[in-house]
Amino acid sequence: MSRLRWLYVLVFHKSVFLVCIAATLFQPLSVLAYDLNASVVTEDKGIFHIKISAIIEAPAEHIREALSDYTHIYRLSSSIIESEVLPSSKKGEKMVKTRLLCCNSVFCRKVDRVDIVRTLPSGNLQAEIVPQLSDFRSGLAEWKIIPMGDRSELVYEANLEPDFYIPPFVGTFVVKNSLEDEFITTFDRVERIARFNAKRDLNEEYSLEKVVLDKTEQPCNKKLSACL
Amino acid sequence: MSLFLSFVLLITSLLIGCTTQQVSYQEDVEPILQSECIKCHVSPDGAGYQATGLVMDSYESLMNGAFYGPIIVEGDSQRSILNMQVEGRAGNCQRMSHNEKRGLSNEQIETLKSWVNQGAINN
Repeated sequence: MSRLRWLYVLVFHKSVFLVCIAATLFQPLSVLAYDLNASVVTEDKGIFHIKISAIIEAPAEHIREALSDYTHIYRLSSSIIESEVLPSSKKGEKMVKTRLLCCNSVFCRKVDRVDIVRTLPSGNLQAEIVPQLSDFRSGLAEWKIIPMGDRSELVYEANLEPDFYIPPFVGTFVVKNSLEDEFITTFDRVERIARFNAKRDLNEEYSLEKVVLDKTEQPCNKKLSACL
Repeated sequence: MSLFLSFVLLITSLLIGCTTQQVSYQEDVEPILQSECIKCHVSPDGAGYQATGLVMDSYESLMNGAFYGPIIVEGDSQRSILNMQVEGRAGNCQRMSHNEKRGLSNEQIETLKSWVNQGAINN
C-alpha cells in the first residue's frame, strides 16, 4: 500500500469513528426544519472539543423527552447497530450501552461505548463515557436545550478522547465536516420525534398507556406494557 | 499475474452469486409480516401503529417507515431498525415481535436479514 493510501486510511478512518461516536454520545434530536447554526471542532493533546448548535422547530420539553428516551436511542442515528439500557445503582442515572458501525469508503469498524446519562438540575442532559467499557479514554458531552417559544436552540458540546490515533489538523477538518453530516440526520430524527410527541400531547384522546391497558387481550400489548 | 487474479475473482463472485438464494418479498417476507407483525402494526387501532406510526400491511407502508424515519436501509441489515429489533440488538424490551413466543424464529430472522441485504426489493 502506498504512503498516500496509508495517510488516507489514517485520516479518514479514524475521523469517521470519532464522528459516529460524538454524534451519538448524547442522542441528538432530529429536525425536519432545523437550522444548523454553527459547528466547531478543535483538538488538543488527543482530546477533541466539539460544539454544534441548531434551531429546532419543536418545544424544549419534547426535545428533552426525545433525547432522554434511551430505550429508543437507536432511532436517532443510523450508526447505532446495537443498544441497551443497563441497570444503574445510582438514582437519577442510567447506563446506556451502544455499538456503532462507523464506515468510510475504505472499510468499517465497530466501536463500543457505555455512557452514564443524567438530567442536570438545569434540564440539560449529560453523558459521561465509562472508559473501561468503551473505546474511549474519556468523554463528557452535554445537550443544552434553550426554549424559544415553539422552537428551541440545541447546543451540543463534548470533550472526547478516543482510544485511537487521529492525526491533528487534517483529522480535525474531516471530523468537523463529517460531524455536520451526521448531525443533519440526527437532528432530523429528533425533530420528527419531538413533533410527534407534541402532537400526541395535544390529542386528549390519545394515551399510549391507555392504548396498552385497553387492549390487553392482544399479546403484543402485554409485552409493550412491560417495556413502557 | 493480475489477469489471473481477475479471473479467480470473477469465478469466485459467480460461484457466490449462484449459491445465494434470492429472497422474495411476496413469497418469503410478506407471510412473516402477516403472521408476526400486522396484528399490532395496523392502522388505526394497532398498538404498534399507535406507538410508532409504522404500518406493515404492504411493501409501500413498510418502506415508508415509522414517524421518526425509515426502518429499513436497503442492502444493509446491520443498520436497519427492522433487523435490529427482530434480532434483539435494540435490547430485550425492543425485541420484535411482541408475541407469546418472544420473537421470531431463527429462520424468519435470517429470511428478513437476507431480504434486506439483497436490497429489500418488492419482488
